[in-house]
Amino acid sequence: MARKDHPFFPHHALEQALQFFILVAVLLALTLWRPAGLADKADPLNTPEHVKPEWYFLAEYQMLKVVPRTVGIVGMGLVAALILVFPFLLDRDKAKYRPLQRPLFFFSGIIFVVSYVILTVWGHYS
Amino acid sequence: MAEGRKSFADRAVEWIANNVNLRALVNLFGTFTGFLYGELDERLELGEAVKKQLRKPISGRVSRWWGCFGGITFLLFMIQVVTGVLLAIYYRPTVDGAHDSILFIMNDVRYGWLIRSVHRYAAELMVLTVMIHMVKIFLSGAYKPPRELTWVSGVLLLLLTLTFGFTGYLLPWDQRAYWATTVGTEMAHSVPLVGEYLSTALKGGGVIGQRTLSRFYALHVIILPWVLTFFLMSHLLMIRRQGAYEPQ
Repeated sequence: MARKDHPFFPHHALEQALQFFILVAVLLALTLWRPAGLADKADPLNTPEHVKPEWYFLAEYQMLKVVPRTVGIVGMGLVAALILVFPFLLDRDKAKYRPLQRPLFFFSGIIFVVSYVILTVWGHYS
Repeated sequence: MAEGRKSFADRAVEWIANNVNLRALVNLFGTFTGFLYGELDERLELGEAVKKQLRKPISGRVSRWWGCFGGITFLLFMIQVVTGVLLAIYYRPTVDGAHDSILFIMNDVRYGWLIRSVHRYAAELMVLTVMIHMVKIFLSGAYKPPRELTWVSGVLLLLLTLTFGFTGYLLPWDQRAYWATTVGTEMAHSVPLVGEYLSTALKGGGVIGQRTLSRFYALHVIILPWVLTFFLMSHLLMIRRQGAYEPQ
């Protein structure tokens, strides 16, 4: 599975160039398919029917609709703080890197991602 | 074919031969490369540094596709810098002018719609790729010692990217922007103890208005880019110094 070590140039640089062109293609395809839109000018007196944040805030938004707001916000702050500093405290054993050698971290990561996706989809359709 | 009629290519070559001093061009190129490889290299020894960088081995254990999202995020940030500067040339951060200036960019500026759309989509893709990058790093355990600080800088970069998205979303000053920001500042308001201050600090007062737009603009185009560049440089330097993570 693992490849041989290879020099940065030209091997790695060419791979990156390929990825860059794929990225540009994706960007241009999205742009040509649906150019960025613009709603009516902001009107503080006129609340639109469906107010929703961008998709990357939808999961948080949906969670705050379900759990009490203060609990949700404090919880998010705690989770963010934990994500920020946990490598100094937990899961520091370098010898254990396979998923089943560190099941707690591996599966809590999986559960986090899955629930994030579910909340986003739920937020999108609610 | 008649003798007098020449193909376009032939005429082009003839024109170049007659009108362009090729020898002078070659000499100019020689002078330039001579300067690069000669005088400049004698003083700064750049050639050796460049060679060392280009030949640096990349670990074969770094996956070609799952390992590319950090680099892709970096490229997207570069795209954001370029398109963002171009947008800033025409954008006006005022309550009266913002919406009109976006309309002007979309309708009258040459390729303005393209620049704005690319900026918009690259922003969303950047959030997506930085999330994928983070999940991949988490699941493979690449944050383990001695790379904890790289992880911390990476999480800060994700938070900065989200703040970029939040502040940038208000700038067009359309209905969606205004009400999404209303939701966002309401959430800030529900933070215990400091919520009141936080919301007032974000809005620059009690309501979303010119002061909100001004400070979001300042955050989006001046403060956040420099803060993000600082953490990005630390992130990249640490990766460069320690090499990419590979399980033993």
